[in-house]
Amino acid sequence: MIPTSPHPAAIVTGAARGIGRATMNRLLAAGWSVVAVDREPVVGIDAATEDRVLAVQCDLADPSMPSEVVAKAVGHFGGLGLLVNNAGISGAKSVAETDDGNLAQIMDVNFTAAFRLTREALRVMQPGSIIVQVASVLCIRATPGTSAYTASKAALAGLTRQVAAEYGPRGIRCNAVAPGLIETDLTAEKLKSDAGHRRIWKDGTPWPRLGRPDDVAAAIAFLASADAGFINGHILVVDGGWSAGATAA
Amino acid sequence: MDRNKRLDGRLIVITGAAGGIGAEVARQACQEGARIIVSDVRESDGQALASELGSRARFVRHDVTSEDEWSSLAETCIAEGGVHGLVNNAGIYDPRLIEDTDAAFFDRNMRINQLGTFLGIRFVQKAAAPAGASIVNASSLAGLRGTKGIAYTATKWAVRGMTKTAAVELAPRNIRANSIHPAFIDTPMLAAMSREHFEARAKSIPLGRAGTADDVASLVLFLLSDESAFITGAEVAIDGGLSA
Repeated sequence: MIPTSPHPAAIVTGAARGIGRATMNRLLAAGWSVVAVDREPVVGIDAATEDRVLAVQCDLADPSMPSEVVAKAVGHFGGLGLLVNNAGISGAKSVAETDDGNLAQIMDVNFTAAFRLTREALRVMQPGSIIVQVASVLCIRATPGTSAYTASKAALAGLTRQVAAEYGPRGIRCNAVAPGLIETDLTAEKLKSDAGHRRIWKDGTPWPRLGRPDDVAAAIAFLASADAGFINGHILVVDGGWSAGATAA
Repeated sequence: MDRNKRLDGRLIVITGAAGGIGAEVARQACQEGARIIVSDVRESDGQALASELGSRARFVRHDVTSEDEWSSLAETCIAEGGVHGLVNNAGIYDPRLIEDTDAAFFDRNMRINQLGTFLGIRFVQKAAAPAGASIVNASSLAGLRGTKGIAYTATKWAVRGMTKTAAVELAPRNIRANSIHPAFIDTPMLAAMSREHFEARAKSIPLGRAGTADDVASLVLFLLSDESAFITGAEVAIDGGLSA
């Protein structure tokens, strides 16, 4: 999908693996340049698109990093047309088990860093620019034992609607995707070892297969395209019907 | 991926396709390589659209409230290898206050907007291609919120609910179902609303403009295509941020 934003440079956080990596690949194929942010090195970039990738290795929980990342995007590519806040960490604890340290760690990465990046991006974005947040289907339907993670993603969904209402009049669209269980190296391991997790997610997903990183990337690429030009403030579920059902977890 | 062939060779039925959003969906789906059945009760407009679209499109006079007509459409589609997509777009929009809504008017809304959509879902259950199918049901902002026009609102909430049941029940057969929730799309259907009211309300939309049939058709195409392969049971608002 052709970039229609006023500037063809995008920031994708958590770009080393999984959904972030698949998103980077989709955006590059669509003609975007990408600032690929991750705590880990972003390796294995196709030589054909290398000149359109700026890898930035950093910890976004550091309060100074979001403004630095946006400054790097503007410095290197001359502007910013798209922000994809994908970086996140999981946390499988109940409310009682979540101490202040766990809570701060999850909120810092999943919400506060995304909020700061959104704020810094909005300072430089021109009308026509786009923001896509990667929330979670847990914003819509809960399961036991993911309290701080769910809260952090629900905060991100609230921010999405808020930015849509505040910046829509300036021609900036903000939407989110809400993935269900997406099979990655990390989730595959847990699905194998944790029967309860398997029951909730694999058995609870009506669609015959689980999600793939590219399923979410395709939804992000759609929201970032002109095809989604009248979609603003929406939380798009990509969950194989998990949140549509009422099956007991 | 060849973006020009997202629906290459697939058989897509679009109800209420003779005008407005339905016609735009038919045009875009045709450009993406689909075979199109233009379903409508408006014969001359439907015929004209089918001729405009060329050999891959045909018009079928089709009343969505008729079980028999859906059955014969199912036979046609099965004979051609099954249906890959249905856009349940046909509907009436005539918002009336509670005091002006009697049983006969309520029933008319239910038959066209709700029963028609249900029969369409049942048609796909019967006539889907072996590889699966995608159902896109036209709900509305009125299916997400309360709006003046109680009968219309009732049917659009029903469409949203039926979509979720269809998503859950038909997933094992690779049949997806999603609802779309447009608001303030500039089409002839909004003639029920005065132009002044329409323009005043359009300004209250965060994006500051009304939507177009093209905006909605682009979303429908995404939901019909494999780009949304893991999206089912979703309720997608397309309203410029009005419901955000």
